[in-house]
Amino acid sequence: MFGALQQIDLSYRWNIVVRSLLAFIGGLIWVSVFGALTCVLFDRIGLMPLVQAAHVMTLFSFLPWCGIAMWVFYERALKKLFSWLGISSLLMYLVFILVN
Amino acid sequence: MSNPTGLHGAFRQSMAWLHTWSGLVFAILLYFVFVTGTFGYFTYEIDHWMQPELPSRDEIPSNAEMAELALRHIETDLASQEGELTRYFIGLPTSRTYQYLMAFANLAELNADGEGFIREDLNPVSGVPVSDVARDTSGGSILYRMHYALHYMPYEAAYYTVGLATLFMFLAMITGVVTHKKIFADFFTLRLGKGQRTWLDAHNMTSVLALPFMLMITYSGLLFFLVEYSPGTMILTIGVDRGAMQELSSHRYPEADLKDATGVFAVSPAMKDLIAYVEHEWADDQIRYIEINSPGEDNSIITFGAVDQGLYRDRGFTVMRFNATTGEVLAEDPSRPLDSEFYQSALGLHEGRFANYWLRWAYFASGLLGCGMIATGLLLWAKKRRALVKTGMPIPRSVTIMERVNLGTIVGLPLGVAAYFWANRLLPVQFEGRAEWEIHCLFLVWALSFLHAGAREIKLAWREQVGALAAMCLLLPVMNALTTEAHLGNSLAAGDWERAGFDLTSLVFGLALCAIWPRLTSSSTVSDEPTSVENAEEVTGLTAQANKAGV
Repeated sequence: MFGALQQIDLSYRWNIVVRSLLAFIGGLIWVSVFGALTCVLFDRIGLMPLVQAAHVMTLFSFLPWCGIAMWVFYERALKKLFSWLGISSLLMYLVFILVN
Repeated sequence: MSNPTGLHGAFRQSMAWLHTWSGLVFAILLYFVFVTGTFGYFTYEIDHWMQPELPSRDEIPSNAEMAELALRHIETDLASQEGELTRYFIGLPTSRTYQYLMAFANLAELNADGEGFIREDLNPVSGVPVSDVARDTSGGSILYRMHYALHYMPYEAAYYTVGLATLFMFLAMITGVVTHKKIFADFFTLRLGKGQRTWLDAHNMTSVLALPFMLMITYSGLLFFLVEYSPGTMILTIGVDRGAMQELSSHRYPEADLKDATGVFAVSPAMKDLIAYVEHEWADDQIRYIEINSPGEDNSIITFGAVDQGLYRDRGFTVMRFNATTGEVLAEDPSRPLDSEFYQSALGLHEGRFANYWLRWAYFASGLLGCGMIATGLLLWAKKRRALVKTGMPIPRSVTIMERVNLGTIVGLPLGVAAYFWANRLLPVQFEGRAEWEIHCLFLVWALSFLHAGAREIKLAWREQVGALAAMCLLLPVMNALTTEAHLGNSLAAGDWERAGFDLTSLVFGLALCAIWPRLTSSSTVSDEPTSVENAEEVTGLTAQANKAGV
């Protein structure tokens, strides 16, 4: 944790940069697709109109975003992070296209 | 890929690492946001202190008289200066803004300054523009504005930067909570004189004490620019073009169809009769603003907004509209949906405009605790780094730089704010651009404090800067007395608690700093002495414990 006083190798920095980008951009994409899919489903089942659903999902979007950031910095394997975030985002997007 | 520590430890260790770094990356900016935002809770009171030429509390005239004053000013003075006006807006004084009657108008065409509006604050008794009698100042409102719009940079860039910092802070808050095993016990633990452990306790205590406030303030802070910060869902569903945003706005603030006739009329469409009608319907003296759209035309509408005593932002959500030609009362707005209520409540909680003075002071104290949380976090980080240096080893440059940056930030910014208030009294009243120069003074003194921290031996620099801040706070009421008539004696005698409160708060800060100052000689704030082997082991042990505890 306090290894910064020693020489920090390049791979560590690379790891941090990748995880930061993944948490920020990957998190934003995942939250957006999840929110959009949920909005369309809410609209389809008549729970609330699309504009209200979009407002609600955007209001609470920072919570799952934060959760993803925590997971990204906890999970050991980067490959697993990429595949889980990537595949789930893609699947949700496909369902969103289908339902929309 | 390597296996760096901190990322791949157990859950709480990973979260501790994330807490440290997500808090640290934007700590200086967040400290700036918290300091300026905390002053923002007393924006109008600071405005009042910074314009000592304005009298203490006058008898406020009736709403009808003030509306007439403002209307006359808009229709004669503003119209003659700027040409055709398309909308009038009159902001009536409240108990906190009793010095200012706002006359505002939208212009048909942009003026020479490229602006589409004109605004003038008037004395509510005489109708004389405040700028004619009181000094030009940036006031408390610029401190409030700087906490989200910063300064010297484009507005959009500023609020995106602040938004990113807020997102990091929110993450730091959540991870900070997650890592604590004994969050309640931490609230009651402060072991003084124990070096790094003291800073850890202070950090925990300030964080836990104001935790609900911190969570509320960070999350609601993100909601002010909701679509800008998290646009993805909107883009994929309704879009973010002008039409979509209008649709969203109509959802948040649904309005009645103004063509619906109610058949209820005021005595006449004259302003005094409309005001009388509204005051009869609402409690007395509850009108916050009067808005006139398309003045002088057949479709002109006059809207009255109420002072909302509830949680909502002070934007007059309780409104009554009239047909300006006939005096007919127009249909009421439908109630807002639940998500809009939640949204407005969150913004209302953030701004605290509904708060009475007791609650306002609680907001202020919570804001100070937030500043303390960030400051102790910064100090703790530097202390931990220094504690890792073995005996006889040189102190890494990054640690010494960080210690100086910490001083320049933690003490330097309050010094800058104190200089801002001093500049208000010391800059000549007729000085061209004095409002902007007040702000320049803030940033110049802040920059000087960084230079001073870099140039001096660090322990001395702490003593000198804290001493200077204490002196500036203690002498501010003295400077006020030497340069204006609005000094503590007069303001207390006049019952002007806004101005007296400002001077007294400055004295309290000065005295508190005087109490801290002698401790800085033996303080654990910084230490240039090499760490002994025993101390190093002890501190490293503490560091390990701190890591486990989650900081």
